[in-house]
Amino acid sequence: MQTLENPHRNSNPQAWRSALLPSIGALVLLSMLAPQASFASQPQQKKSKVTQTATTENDKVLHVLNRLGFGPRPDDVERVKRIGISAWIQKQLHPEEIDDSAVEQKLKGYPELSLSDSEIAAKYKEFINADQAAAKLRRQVRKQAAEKTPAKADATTAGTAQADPKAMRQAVMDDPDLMRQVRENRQELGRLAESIGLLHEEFNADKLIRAVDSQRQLQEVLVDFWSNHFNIDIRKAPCGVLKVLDDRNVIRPHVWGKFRDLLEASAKSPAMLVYLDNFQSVADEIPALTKFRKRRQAQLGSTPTPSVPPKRKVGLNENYAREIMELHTLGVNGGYTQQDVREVARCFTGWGIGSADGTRARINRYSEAGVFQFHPMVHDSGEKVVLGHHIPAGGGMRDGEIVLDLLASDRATWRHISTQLCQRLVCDEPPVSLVNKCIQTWQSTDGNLREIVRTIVTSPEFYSSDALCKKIKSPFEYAVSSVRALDGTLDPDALVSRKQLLREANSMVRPPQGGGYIDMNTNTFLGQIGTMGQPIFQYQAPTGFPEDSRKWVSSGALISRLNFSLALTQGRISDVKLEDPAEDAGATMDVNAMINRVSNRILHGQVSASTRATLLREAQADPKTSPATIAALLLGSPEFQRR
Amino acid sequence: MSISRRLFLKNGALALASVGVGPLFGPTFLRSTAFGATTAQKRKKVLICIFQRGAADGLNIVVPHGDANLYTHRPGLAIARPSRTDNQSALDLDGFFGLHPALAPFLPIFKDGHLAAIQACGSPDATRSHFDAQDFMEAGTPGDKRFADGWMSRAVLACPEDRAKLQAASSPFRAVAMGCDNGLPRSLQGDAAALAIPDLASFGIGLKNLKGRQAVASGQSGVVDGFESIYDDAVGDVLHGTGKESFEAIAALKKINPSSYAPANGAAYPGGRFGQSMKQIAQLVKADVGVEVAFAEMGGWDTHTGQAARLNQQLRDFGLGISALYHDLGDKMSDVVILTMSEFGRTVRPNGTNGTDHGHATCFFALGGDVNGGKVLGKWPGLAPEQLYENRDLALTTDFRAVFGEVAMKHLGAQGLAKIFPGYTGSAADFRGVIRAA
Repeated sequence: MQTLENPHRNSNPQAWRSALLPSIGALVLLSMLAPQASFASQPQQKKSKVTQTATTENDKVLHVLNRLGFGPRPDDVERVKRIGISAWIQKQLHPEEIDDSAVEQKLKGYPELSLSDSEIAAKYKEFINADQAAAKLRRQVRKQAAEKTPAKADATTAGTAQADPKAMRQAVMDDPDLMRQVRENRQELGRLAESIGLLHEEFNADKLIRAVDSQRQLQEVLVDFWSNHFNIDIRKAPCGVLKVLDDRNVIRPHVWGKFRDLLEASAKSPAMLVYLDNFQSVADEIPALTKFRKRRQAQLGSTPTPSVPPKRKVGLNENYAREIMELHTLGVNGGYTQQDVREVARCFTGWGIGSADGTRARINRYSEAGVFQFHPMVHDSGEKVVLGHHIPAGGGMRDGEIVLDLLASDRATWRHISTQLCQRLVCDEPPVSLVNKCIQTWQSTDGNLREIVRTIVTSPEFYSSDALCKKIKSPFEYAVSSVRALDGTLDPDALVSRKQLLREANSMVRPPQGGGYIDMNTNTFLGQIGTMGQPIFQYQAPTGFPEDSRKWVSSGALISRLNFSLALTQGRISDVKLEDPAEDAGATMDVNAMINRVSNRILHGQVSASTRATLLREAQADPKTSPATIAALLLGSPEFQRR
Repeated sequence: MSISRRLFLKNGALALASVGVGPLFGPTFLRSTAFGATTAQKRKKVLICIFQRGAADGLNIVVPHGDANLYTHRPGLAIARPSRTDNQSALDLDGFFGLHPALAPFLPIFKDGHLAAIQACGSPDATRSHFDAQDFMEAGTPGDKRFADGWMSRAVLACPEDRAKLQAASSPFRAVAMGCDNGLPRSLQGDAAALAIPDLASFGIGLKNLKGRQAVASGQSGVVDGFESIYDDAVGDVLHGTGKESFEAIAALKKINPSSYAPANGAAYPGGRFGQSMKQIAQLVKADVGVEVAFAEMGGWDTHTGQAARLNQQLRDFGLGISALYHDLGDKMSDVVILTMSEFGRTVRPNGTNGTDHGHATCFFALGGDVNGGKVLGKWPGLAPEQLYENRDLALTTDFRAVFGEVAMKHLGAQGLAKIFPGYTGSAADFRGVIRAA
């Protein structure tokens, strides 16, 4: 990825320390957002005293907690100081050595998520059967209604024949047997939808709880990164179910492994095969099919039947082939051509899904949660040339694996992904020197992701002034870090409140129409994150949410963040548990002490003089100002939008 | 329908004279049109852009049913030639092109001469990456990634009177993005301040819920003031500017109540996010809060599979939403242009999964009083195999910058094509006649 020339680049390395004048990031952002003229006309603020101090250990500790995790809990800073920054990083790089039993215990209570892959698939199939029975009943009812009111049948809008709902209700009421069937089906569907909906709620809750509570913070950051890199929108049916399996089988097991393995796991992930359509992509010419048709033709005689519509053409779909190169590996300028896209699509023909019990191939994607299967019958067996590399005919499934080898070992891939990792962990425009170090590590370790992350987080660039406090938090990061800053937790029971079950279940099964369903309930933690602009697992385009944090700055986004900080501190988010603010001795303190106490717990010294002055002014003007109000203002402050 | 075609007749005074009605007896809007000929330039023009994200299949939207090759390339997928007997065929526009049947709401607007389509239009850059192509189109610089700002921001700044307004810190609503996925879209990024509003109904602080606008609890105003002064004092911080815009907008919005909004002229918006964006843009424009450019988007056009049903649904929402906006704005449409766009088109031939893959040129729409409507504009490149782009896509005959540029200059009154589109070598000679000559 090329970095853009930044006309405002400021090389003053001291500047970031003015907590409110983070010069470079601010200038970059400002150049995007605010009138250039008005910026130029603003007098450079005098740097306050705080800005003159050197990078302290405190700043570094906050930096690692903000980058290798979702921000500090109040006690975390002291804890990291005690064991030392490098020892803490070392532990985070080896999460298997960190005890995380408290979180595991919390998640054990989720029944649906504890099911095995095949149990989930079986439940889903049961649900689909009931759903299909419901559709059949609806058709039956519609037909009966139409028979009763033939006159009304014609006046409908373009393309969609709609039965009169009144007539349909009447048709059901007139037929007791039908009425019983409809009622029973509705009950059955409701029962099954509840368990599918619950699975979905538990899956979201799992991600949120781990981010807020897990001791393995870096692991959660990387799971979030890779899940976003190999983005799947759960609104594309049946990805709502398949993404649960993708998370447990593709992303989580490979975060610390080799990139090549992660890439292959993703290429074979039923969720990805559905999301980017590859399961439907077949050779343009299928010899067996042609032979079959010829034989049929001979049997039927040579006269083609005119009433039969032209055969549905089957063949290639380029979607996955393009995105695996553009997004998952090489990057958009990674040196591939349109011809390469077609050749890669040919290599991946036949990479599809079959039924979970392995008995049937090429199932309808709506009918069950399938598993990866290679279908040699529909694979394009001819020879291919990918990125100048000759792939001989007859390779079968090996063709796709060769493509994965080629892509994973291409320097463009190393550069593209290293840049993105640096964007997540370091800064929006990573220095070339750091990206090159990652590429070296990639080369020497054959793409070992743990070592590449280690290279990043132990580099001097990681602590540079271009990095510290320069990233704007994503809504997810903002929400999670807010709860952590208040030392709060999530209530596992309240997270799966079962209120939206049917709607969610329906949205998972049917393809989204006009955007699908996004939870915007501001009383829930998940809904708040969606309202702030980052509905979890629901990004429609395959890019995933942006890694460049400047994209998160806008007036609308800011307002929803301020609303979040109010809702959170006022206890209006039902599934977040905070310690009782009354317990806090704040009320008896003088305002200065109260402000110090709250701001130290939340911002650990990184509060600007002007924000502090505002807090003091507000608190002095209103004697009822509580620690919760101070907390709301601090969580909404510019300082806390950064990490 | 309250919008008469007379409203948009090019020369108000002449029109009235020709039908023998003295201006004084005509409706107010006609009088103002008739006598406002000299002041027309001073009335504020509005541009509303709608981005169809995902690459909309122009060939099935404005169907070249007069080109026999269409049916050779797309058996089973092409929209059938116009027919009076079913509702699955193209709605004829000019004997050669026809509308997708789901776009029926566009037909009367076309017939009234207030809607034009521009076929075989798009970006001259060859990329088939959604993300690059959208970025290039919104930046207005195909193939060139050096620019961080967007074409709409540059267009606003290229309007002489807006430059002056910029210094005077006018309406926070001058440039608005409504209901966009990623906050402020690239088109509006840049030196002209712009506002991203996810949903008008919840654009405020401490609101009880999405619909109501009442404050949650008494005593909350203190906290809200606190936020405002924190951001006010954070001079020099990027978030200072964002905060300032936000609080100004919130203050201005206090007089608008989205939950009790009633569209005019019987306009019926479709449900869903796009319909909501259309409705809220109408509300802002009608509230006279100073909107000059607005931007909305609609996803879901990437029809790799099962295209027929999906495109039908997409176009239903698209057509209903835009036509509702058009009717709702009523007389105001004489100062408004609605422009639609998509990053590229789709392959001429279907792929193997009843869909289409990424292609090249596509089709845009323009609606409004200033639009030279009732026509399909642009040059038709043909669909014979040798006429296709890279033997697979509709070739491009209109650079999108010629369309954007014409609307910016002739409708908004921007000056300097090269300022809006750095590196563009085209000129007014390349304009397609989207905007009527004044």
